[in-house]
Amino acid sequence: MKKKSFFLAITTSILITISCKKEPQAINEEELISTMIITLKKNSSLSVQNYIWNDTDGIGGIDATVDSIIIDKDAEYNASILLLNTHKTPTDTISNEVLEEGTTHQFFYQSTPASALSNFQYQAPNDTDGNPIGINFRFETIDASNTGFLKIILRHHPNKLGSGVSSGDITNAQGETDIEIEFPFRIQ
Amino acid sequence: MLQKLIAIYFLVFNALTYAQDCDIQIKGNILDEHDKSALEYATVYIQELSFGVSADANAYFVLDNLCAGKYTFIVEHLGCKPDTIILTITKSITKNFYLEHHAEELAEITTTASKLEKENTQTINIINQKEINKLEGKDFASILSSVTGVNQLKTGTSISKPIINGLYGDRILIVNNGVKLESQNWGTEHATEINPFASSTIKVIKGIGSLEYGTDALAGMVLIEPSILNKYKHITSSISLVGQTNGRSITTSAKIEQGFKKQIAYFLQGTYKRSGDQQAPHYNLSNTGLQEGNFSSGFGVLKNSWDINIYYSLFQQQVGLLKSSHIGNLTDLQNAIESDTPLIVNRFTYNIENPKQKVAHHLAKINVVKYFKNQNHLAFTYSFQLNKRKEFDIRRGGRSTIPSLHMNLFSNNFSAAYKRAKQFAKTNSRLEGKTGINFLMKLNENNPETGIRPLIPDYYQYNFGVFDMEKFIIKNFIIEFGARYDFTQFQAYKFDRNNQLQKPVFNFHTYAANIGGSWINNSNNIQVQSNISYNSRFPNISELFSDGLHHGIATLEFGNDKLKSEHGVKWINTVSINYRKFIKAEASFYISKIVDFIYLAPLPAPILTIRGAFPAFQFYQTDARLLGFDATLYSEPTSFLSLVFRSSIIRGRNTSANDNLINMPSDRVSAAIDLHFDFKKIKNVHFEMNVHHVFKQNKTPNLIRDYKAIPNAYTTLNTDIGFDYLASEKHKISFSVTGENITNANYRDYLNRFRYYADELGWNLIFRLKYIFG
Repeated sequence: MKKKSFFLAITTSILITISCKKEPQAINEEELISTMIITLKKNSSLSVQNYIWNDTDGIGGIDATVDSIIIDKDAEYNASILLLNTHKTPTDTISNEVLEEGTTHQFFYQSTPASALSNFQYQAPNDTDGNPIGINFRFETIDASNTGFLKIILRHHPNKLGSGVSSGDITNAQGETDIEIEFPFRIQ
Repeated sequence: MLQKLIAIYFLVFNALTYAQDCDIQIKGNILDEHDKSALEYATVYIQELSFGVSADANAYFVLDNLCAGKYTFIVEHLGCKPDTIILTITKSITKNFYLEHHAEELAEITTTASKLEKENTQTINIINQKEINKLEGKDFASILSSVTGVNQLKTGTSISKPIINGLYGDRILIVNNGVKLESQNWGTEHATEINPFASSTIKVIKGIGSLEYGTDALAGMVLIEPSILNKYKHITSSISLVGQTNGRSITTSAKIEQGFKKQIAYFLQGTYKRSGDQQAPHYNLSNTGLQEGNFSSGFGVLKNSWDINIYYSLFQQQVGLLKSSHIGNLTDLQNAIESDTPLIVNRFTYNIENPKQKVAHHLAKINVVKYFKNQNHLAFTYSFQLNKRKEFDIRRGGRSTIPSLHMNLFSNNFSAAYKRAKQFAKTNSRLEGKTGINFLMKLNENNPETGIRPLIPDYYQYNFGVFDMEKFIIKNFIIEFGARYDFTQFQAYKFDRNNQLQKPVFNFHTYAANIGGSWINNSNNIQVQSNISYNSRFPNISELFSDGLHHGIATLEFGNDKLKSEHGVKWINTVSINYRKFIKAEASFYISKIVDFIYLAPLPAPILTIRGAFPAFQFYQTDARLLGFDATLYSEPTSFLSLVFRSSIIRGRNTSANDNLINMPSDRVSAAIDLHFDFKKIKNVHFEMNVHHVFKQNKTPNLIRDYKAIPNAYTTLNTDIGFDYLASEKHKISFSVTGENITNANYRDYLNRFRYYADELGWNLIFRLKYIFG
């Protein structure tokens, strides 16, 4: 009798396991940053230029694509960064999350060669502590034709009080890198 | 009762005529408690001397050359409950031992492995209750690493998994109370979900082990055996308290066991541990705290012709990962490596923040055993396991409280096994065997709450296995052989890059077989064991499908669904020599050749992501060869002094690529000196000192570039001082103080995946207090 109920228990649990077979739901990558759009506006001009870094399927899979930036020499540019997750429907604007959590995010910019793009300056908005976030910034171009790379870095949980960090020096920023991409550029 | 009277008698007698003779002989018969029939080839083992003999076909045994003293005799016979009798002997006597013949107790000793190591053809290292108590407060892998040839693969300070003879993970079968542990074992940063303090014995088999559990023990098997439920047992309980200075941790555990009216027995055991941040010699290791709570219980109805046993255990752990190990990309890793100290060092705290892991493992088992004549029996076992794993990361958008990985693994296992024994009086030999089948069903489920594409897809796994093992014992020889076949089907539910559900099905046939022999000389002091085993292991879900970024080591890992099963042959030979009581030596040599060995190899080009370029790895197959040597030398030149020397060497080669294998333990040696004596009621007063030296690993793969120079050799010095106080016959108190790394040596270990970020632990004092009643 005892054995019978024992086997019954086993059979039941086996049946439960098999009958529970259900298909999983697709998971939308909520935090994925698939796309960065950098908008440049020359100081004396009214028109804007958009350049896109795109990796819609995230890490792995199809390689990322990146536009080449073409800008004028000896000019001053205002730049603005937009981050999107196009993996999600409707598209999620990740840069809003970055702004909301401004105290734990900061962008940094680097030019190679260093002389080509210079005088990077953070623009408003700042975070609630009054420290820069860097979603908007400005820079100047050299007075000569040149080519190179503009590197844009986003750090999560940086040490915003580190020496030089608030003026854009990444050396003492620490934190974890969320974004580190390069746009090729041509100054003409 | 009779045994007790004898013991008391001898205690009194002993006080009167104590003599330091070492030529005492004990002889007698081992008989069935019920019908007084002879239990042929039963074994008598003296725990203190780690020495024993087998009785002959008439159940007659002789133990020679014993010194006067108090000994624990463990009497065992196939199909019987092992019995433990404590005797004080002063002169040669004739003593019969009685065993209850049919009642194998709750924790059925599930392998062919017998307490008498000599009854095996395989190399078995036993960690007994005394040794486990001595290490109370340590994790499972640390306890296993007290065996020569066993190392640890660590992730930081609190997460570690065992390496046996150079291999780890799925290539080691872990069997807890007769049930194969089904956990999410594929991750190197997943610790083994075992509370070692719920067990009374841990056995490490550096070979195929028992074919009862699977075909994939390419490295070895670990058997964890809980307290044996004993229906004769009077109430016994123990409570212990362990405090450690490093991490300011406290561990407390309690256990109670009891038998009733020869029919029912139970045990209950619980452990709680809490630790704060641990410390390296020069800094705090921020966010390395740990919190653990474990519970286990057993209940058995033990009748004359059948038993029903129920077992349940829960392992629950929350563990923090070193803050500085949380990096985004290669630049961050480079910054971490260039800095001598971790980039984030905060003040000591007990708080555990992200990144952290929360793990729970439930195991429930019911086991029915029917006993037949001639020590044969049939056992049915059903077990259910649930492994829950949550990993928390530092996330954006207020998602840090949502786990970034959340998986539940359900396992159902049903098995039936028939164990039999046959005596051949004519040839003075015995044949033992075990035959069985098992069915396994597994379901892995990702919780979609994570909002992150899962690293491992959902899957179902069905498995059917059948095995047979035979052991033939004739005179000084033992021959063992066995085989097993398994059919496994996987059905994965994987979303491709376009979020379309794919349902690939995989079928695997795996086989295992072994043949082994053992010879003991007539004077019972030399034994030669040799065992050849063939194993095969199908690729696990991570090797087939893993897809994603490993944060701590900044690499991308990709599965490979074209993988076949890997299979290999391991040949292990062991020579054990006892020279009186003075010297005991054991040396093992092994060679293992694995075809289609599954390993991670770098892809030709790094992969560009929004976080920058990452080196990428994919699972490939190659041929591998491992060669190794483990040696232990134990000597007791006088009664109060013992010396132990251990050494292990291993060489792992990727033979197809003519390169070294990654994560191979480097050569290591250790030496210990132990002074011990008794002082009236204070027993086992001991002072132990141990030097452990690990050489630098110079044989690393050329094809896989390491980010940081391989750590240098290091030496650590450890001590242990303590005593047992016997307040009365029933009350015992043990106290000890252990010092680890007492010179506060600053070092990093090749087998720690967080060696890029921080040093290993600094000095640590461990205070252990244990009270045993009963």
